[in-house]
Amino acid sequence: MNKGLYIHFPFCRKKCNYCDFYSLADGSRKGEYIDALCREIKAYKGISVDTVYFGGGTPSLMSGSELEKLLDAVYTSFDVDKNAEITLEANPMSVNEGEKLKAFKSAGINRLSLGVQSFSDTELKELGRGHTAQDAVDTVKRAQEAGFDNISIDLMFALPRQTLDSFTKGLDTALSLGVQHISTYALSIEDKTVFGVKQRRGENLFLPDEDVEAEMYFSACERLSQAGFEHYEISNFAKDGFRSRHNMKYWQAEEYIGIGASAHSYFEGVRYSMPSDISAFCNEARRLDSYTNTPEDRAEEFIFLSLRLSDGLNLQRLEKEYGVRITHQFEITARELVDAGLCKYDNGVLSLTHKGFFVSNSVIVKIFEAL
Amino acid sequence: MYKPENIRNFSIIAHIDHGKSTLADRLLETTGTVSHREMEEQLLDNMELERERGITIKARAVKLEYTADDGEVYSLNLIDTPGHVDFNYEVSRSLSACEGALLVVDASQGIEAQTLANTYLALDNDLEIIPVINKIDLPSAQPDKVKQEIEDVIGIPAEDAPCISAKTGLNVEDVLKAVVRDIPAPKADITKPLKALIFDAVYDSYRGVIVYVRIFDGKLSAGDRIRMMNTGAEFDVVEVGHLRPFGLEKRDCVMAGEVAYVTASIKSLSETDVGDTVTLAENQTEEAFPGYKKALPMVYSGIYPADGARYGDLRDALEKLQLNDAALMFEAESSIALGFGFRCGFLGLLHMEVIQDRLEREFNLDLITTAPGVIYKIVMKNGEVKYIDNPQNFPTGDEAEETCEPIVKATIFTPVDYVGTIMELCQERRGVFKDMKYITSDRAELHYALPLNEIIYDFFDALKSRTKGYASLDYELAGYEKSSLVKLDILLNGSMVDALSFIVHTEKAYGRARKIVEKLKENIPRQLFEIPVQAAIGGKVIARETVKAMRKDVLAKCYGGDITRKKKLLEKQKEGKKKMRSLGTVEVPHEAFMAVLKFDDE
Repeated sequence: MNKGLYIHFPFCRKKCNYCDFYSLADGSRKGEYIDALCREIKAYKGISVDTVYFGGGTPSLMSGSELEKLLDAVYTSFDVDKNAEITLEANPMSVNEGEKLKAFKSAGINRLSLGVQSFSDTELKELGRGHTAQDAVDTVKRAQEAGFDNISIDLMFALPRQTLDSFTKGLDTALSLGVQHISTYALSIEDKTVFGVKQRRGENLFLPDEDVEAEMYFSACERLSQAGFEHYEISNFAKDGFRSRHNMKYWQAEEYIGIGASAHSYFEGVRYSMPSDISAFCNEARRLDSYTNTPEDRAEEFIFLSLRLSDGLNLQRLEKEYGVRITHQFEITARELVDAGLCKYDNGVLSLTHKGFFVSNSVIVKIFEAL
Repeated sequence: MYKPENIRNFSIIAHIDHGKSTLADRLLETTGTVSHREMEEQLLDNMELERERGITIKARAVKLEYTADDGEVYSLNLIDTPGHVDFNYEVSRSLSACEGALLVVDASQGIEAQTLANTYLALDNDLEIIPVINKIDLPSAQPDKVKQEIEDVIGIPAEDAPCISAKTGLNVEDVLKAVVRDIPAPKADITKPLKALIFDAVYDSYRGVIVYVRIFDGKLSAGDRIRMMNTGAEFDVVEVGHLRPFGLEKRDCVMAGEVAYVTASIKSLSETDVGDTVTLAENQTEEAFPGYKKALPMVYSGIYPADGARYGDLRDALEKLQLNDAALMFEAESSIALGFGFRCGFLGLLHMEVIQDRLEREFNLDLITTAPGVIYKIVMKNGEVKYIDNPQNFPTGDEAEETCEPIVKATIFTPVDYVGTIMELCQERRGVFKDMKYITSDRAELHYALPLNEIIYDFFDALKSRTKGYASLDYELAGYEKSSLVKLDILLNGSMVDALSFIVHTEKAYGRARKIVEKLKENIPRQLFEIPVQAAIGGKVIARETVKAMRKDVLAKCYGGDITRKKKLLEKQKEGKKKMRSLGTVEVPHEAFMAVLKFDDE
């Protein structure tokens, strides 16, 4: 089966206040790092891939030629399907920078994932994003002019001082731009971030409470469905035929190869990651962190990943491919969850409802207990 | 050399914090029994817990050697007494092993209820009382006023009472002089058959039970066969000797007038009851000491291991504690909610807390305890009388003709300023006023009949907090009275949680029910389903709260192929579940069980 290919670009102009992904604000080693990526890519031979994903960090900080160099390496080493989905994560850009979009397109990028996060300038400032709402609108338009017809927008909710109203206005703006895909996810405060530090110090971040958060989520579900988007993953909505094929591989427990500092892979049955350290990555004698990967782990992963999708958990597959017996207790638990409006259970497929998605951790633990 | 005329046996009576332990330390030091350097703080209180709580739970004894001004060497046996109402019986036995007692009173606080109760016990035992005014180094000390109070309240002369500071050592020598001068030497006849009083016993894993006795008549040597007159048990004595600060001092023979220890390969404390009379099997004394009784628990609660798998460990721990605490009773019980555990009986609330603390601390157990209760008396329609210590056995429907609850005679000492506050408190707790006396112009003594059930909740705490710690309480059981009682049940998601049921007076039922459902609501985390929390009497719901369903519990982002985050989160949730009890579909954290036991005085 075709695999996915993920390439991590860990550089950003500046670190955002909520982000705890591996990224660096100092771009001085960018060239060296891209060379190392190329070397690593060239180490593979003849593997078929049908999705390529440049994630970060901010991969749109690369120049057109840098991206071209990487993609050349990819085409040389991998057997890339002719209909492959090739995604680039990009931040909204200023006009000058926006010229790069054409270069990205001609280098082979056919899907853009734009980190818009919010269409409110006050919220953007609070988040520490380096762009305005207008930058985001302009970037979408320029991308469309450059010929991109598969654009995704990231929008966050449960932001400091955010109201239900400002969030739904943002959703409406996103819809008015005619994008094909929207990811909308709740802010979570992580330890090693500006927000995390503030919270530990006891500062009030003015976060909406649990009930308001839930309302924001449900209003997104409702609005986007009405606008013809399929709610196919907890946080992801797509027009027909525009699901993120790359991300689907993660959620369907399919294999992918991750290249770059902090990149994760699931390759030949083993899950592993590369160190979150560009020096270690540039130095080829690096260590890989593989995680335990027992049959039980694989079954658990299949369950919790499948349940992120509206497609749900196929119990027949769980039994046949993962050897998990469907117990009587499972049937009871499933009924309870259905009665509570958290799950749907039809034709041997258990899936979560909107309400269930937003409490999915607890639902999944309940399902684990029943199996 | 045995010189009974040079023996003095005495106790110290003092309220908590009035300086009993400090004085004991100082006496050990002044007599050279323990040097200052050797002095570990408060040697007599040797359990860690006792030290922390500043109270003596188990009595101990120690022999001091004091060379008086006349050059004679005196053996002073100091018998320590527990300072809490739960241990009243032990106090009375310790006192009856003495000829005298030091009544230590804080120069700024005056006499407290507990002190007075114990002083009366001492007077009942014909003890010579020597008042000692302590803490005269404090700026607020009013020694003359306190002396007057002693004379007025107790009716003993106090003019010449030593005024000391146990803390600084000031005038402590005066205390020793008074002990030698005023406390009578024991009347000792070594020719009579052995007659000794057990005032304490401890379990030692090497020697078996070590029995602490006061010998009144005769003598006792290793090899003698002894008989416990009340339990009838007989043993061959292995060793006898005196009690010294750093351990046991073996002797060939111990004699009338002395305080001694005896070991006789005794396996169980249940054969060496405090208050029993020890005599020789072959040459018995005519009559046992009066006043012997078995210590009976007054307060009961269920104790369960938080982790059901540790039931066996809990049983072992209780057995070990029982070796050293004959008053602790337990029997296996099971609860639908909590699984297997034990119904335990305690002398009082403090005793209960001490045992729970020791189980957690010394045996590393996490416990879930049920609400403390008392023994109720139920007269059934068919005339049968039942005593129940577990709410689960409360009769349902109209099987009961009459329900009765234990009542105590409570004595409260207080500065007059708080009389109103205390009356209010007693009234809230269903107390019946008996009488009030002004013992001095600014201190009063109140007498109430109070249901024991009300006292064991938070009466002590409420009394302390409402009187800034100035009032003190003493009580004794005064029998059963008819009372309108009901069993209050708690339902989570419609199912009864047996471990949360308790028996309560009809008038109090609604208030308690409200409080409990509110506490449960606070302490049960939101779950996938809405959880009704109800309190009901006989199926009729009288209070209700709802734990709302959880709305958000999601890892929103799962990108970049990094699924470790999600895995960690799920692991954490599974771990968290271990700290919960699963009751049907409801997960209840251990803290929730504990929270409902705490009745804040609001």
